[in-house]
Amino acid sequence: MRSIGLVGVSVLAILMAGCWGPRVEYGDPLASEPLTTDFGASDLQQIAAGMVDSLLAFPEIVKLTAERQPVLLVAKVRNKTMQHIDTEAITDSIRAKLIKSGKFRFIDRSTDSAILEELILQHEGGHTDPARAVPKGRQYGAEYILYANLAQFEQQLGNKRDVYYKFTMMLRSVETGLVIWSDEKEIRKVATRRWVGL
Amino acid sequence: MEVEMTRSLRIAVVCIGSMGLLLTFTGCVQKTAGLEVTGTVMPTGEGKGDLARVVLVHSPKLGRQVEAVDARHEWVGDLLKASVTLMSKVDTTLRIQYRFVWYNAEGLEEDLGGDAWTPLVLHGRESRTVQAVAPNASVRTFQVRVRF
Repeated sequence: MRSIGLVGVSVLAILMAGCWGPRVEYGDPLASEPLTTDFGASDLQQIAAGMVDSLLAFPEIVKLTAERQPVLLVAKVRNKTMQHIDTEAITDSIRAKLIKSGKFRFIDRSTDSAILEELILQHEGGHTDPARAVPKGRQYGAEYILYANLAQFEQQLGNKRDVYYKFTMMLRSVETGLVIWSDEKEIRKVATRRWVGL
Repeated sequence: MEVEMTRSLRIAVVCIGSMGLLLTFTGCVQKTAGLEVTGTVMPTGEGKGDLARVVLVHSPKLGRQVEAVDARHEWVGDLLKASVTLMSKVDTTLRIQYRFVWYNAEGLEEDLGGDAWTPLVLHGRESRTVQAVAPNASVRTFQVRVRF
């Protein structure tokens, strides 16, 4: 009788040891399992995928990219939320997806100072063979600018918290100033505090 | 003595069974199998340009609650745009996730790890269409994976 009890307790202990206690493991970077209502990695991925799909399927863009690769510049996202969000991560994902589509070419103003420094070094530093120096004045200018806003609306009542995010993106022509494409992606996250473990 | 042993065994089995159930409900055991809808644009022959569809149900539980009722495609320029309609077969609200996976004509996956799992709320008996655009022009097959 006593030994059966011991066996039962041992089996339970083994079962419990597999699930409880500190554990570190690799997670799926593509998973969508929100832990809080804060803006997270899955929200970023959903926004990037939604915006790229919408942009690539827009009839005017399809026409524009049929023959050539227009040059785009991604402006910084205006973060209108109450959270500290790395909005550059959103635009980085969007840019990476658009480059992989082969439909656009991009310029990046955030690395302009490094390029300028290198050009000055090559042409005025006296260490570079003039025949092998990169010629100046041949960079591309942006034809279109992608810019975006991220807004947040929040409601809380009792143990329920409802957070709504709205990401709006636009593509504007540098030449004409016209907004030629715009779309929105909405994400809603609801958290409810539960009092029973299950 | 024998009766007492049988009784103890029964108690132990019930305890272990309950523990297993408890672990299942608390999320330690998470089943991630779901269903897959695959669409391939026929390259040659009589049905050239048509879509060959295959639906695989790996999770009977999900298969009883969600059905892929339609799969379509269209071309936006040279990029494949895929859409799949999912229908709830139950009266309650379902919270599921889906993900698009893309393959080229040789069957190799394109844009590995590109599209993330996207949450989808299906209200009772509701049908909703999910759609996405292929990451590049070499894609000829799409797959939509659905899971809880």
